[in-house]
Amino acid sequence: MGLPNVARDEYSADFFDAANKGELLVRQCENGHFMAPTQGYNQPSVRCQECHSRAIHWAPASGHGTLVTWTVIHSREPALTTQIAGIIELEEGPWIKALIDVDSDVELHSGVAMSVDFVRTGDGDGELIPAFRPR
Amino acid sequence: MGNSFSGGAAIVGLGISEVGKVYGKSVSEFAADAVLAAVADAGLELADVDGVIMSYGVVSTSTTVADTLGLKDLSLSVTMATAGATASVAVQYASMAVQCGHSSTVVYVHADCPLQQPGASAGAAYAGRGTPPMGFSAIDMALGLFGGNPPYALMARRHMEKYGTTSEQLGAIAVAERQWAMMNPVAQMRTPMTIADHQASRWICEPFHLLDCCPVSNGAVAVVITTSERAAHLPRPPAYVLGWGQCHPGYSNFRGSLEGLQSGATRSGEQAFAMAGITRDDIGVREFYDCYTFTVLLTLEDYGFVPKGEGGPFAASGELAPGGSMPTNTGGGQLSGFYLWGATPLHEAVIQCRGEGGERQVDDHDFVLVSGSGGSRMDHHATLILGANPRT
Repeated sequence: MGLPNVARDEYSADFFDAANKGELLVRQCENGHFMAPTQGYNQPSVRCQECHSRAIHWAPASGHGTLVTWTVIHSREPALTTQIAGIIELEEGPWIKALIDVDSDVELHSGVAMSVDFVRTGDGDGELIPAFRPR
Repeated sequence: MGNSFSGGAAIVGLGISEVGKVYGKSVSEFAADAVLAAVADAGLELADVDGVIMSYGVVSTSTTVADTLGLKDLSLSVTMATAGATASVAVQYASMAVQCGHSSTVVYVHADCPLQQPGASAGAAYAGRGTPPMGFSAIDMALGLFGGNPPYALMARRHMEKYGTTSEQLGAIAVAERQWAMMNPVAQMRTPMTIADHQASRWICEPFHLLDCCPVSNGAVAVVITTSERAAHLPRPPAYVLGWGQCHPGYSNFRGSLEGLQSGATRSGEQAFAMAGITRDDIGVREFYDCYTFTVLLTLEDYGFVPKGEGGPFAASGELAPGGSMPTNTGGGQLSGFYLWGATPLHEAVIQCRGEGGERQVDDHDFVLVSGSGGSRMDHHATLILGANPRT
């Protein structure tokens, strides 16, 4: 059972292009401050929260981080498998929401070191999204 | 010693529509029912109302309750939106409006009807409507991070990991509230519940079982606010608005965020206690926002009723339940009572403050604390301290 299709919009285009090359992007301002791709309720990160600069660009992250928290999502429809979604704190500081890709018998804990991989969404035609595995 | 606005306004009327799985009425009709009931309860005429504050539920309406009821020449007619904090926030601004003379009598109403037909899940209404999301919102959808449950599950899990909070401890909160609900004729869920029932209820998103989550309700609650001077001439026991506070913590998606570990209740509570000139030890009744069991636990810690990290063991000790040392959510809250956002704790707080809780009435009700909390990351928090007696 695949993940529901993810389609890009204008803001996320560079992020998904990089994902296709196996690279995780975050936001960074002209003064070097890192930011998550989005703030609040998925608002694009367009101003630096630290220095309020408008000069924000996409910047590569190492893809390494630690698990902040996670939830195992159970569906009412038996055909759908449960999946784990979580928040990763990247080495650079930003938090990113991602699939947590572990076998069901692996016990998760906050602070576990993880690394990014990417998984395809939809029926092979959706974008690649980040999935983290224990490092 | 509180500040000079402490106790200058009071809640003088309380109204509630039919609540729960009630069908065939629009949001506007529910709102009108509650407003009319609240105004009648206050011993006033609708024409005495010169201010209206509404809040958004899931189902909002372009028609305000003022239009539905044909109210004329209002000095205040506004819809506020701080999610679950709105009820407490609205009472604060209403109290300011009557004290500075902007308005004389303000009605606040929260109405909602996400349940549109028998048997249908309200999930669709809560999960969002309209065109399919794209970009980062689409990633959330693919991950299953939509609706209210997953973000609160993420916060609860973080707390559990840091402080050792357990699912059984969360279950103790649900059980305590059910015990209160069994004494509340308005509560939707009044059958006995045990920790075992909680543990056996199906997973929604771990660490939440079904019984960690509140049900969904149709209905409306309204309150009438005026000055304490006018309140003295009205028939019902006033619930004096002694203190208030707000905190909108502003969680960044970045290292150092306290999301899930500390809410706005800390600062909001400090502000409210200072305004009322009391301490938390003076509070006899707590009415906390409880869309999930976890929010009760976090709120209890953040107001300082228990030390940080000790909310779980404290809840498990049964002190929140009837007969316990810290009566909390005495109408069954949202978990077992009914879910009308911040109007649920506000409604029960007024009943307790008046001493009209019947068999569930808490003896020590001089000071009742109401909290509202809202947003997918608990982005908003508001506190009210209501008092049974005027300021001396």
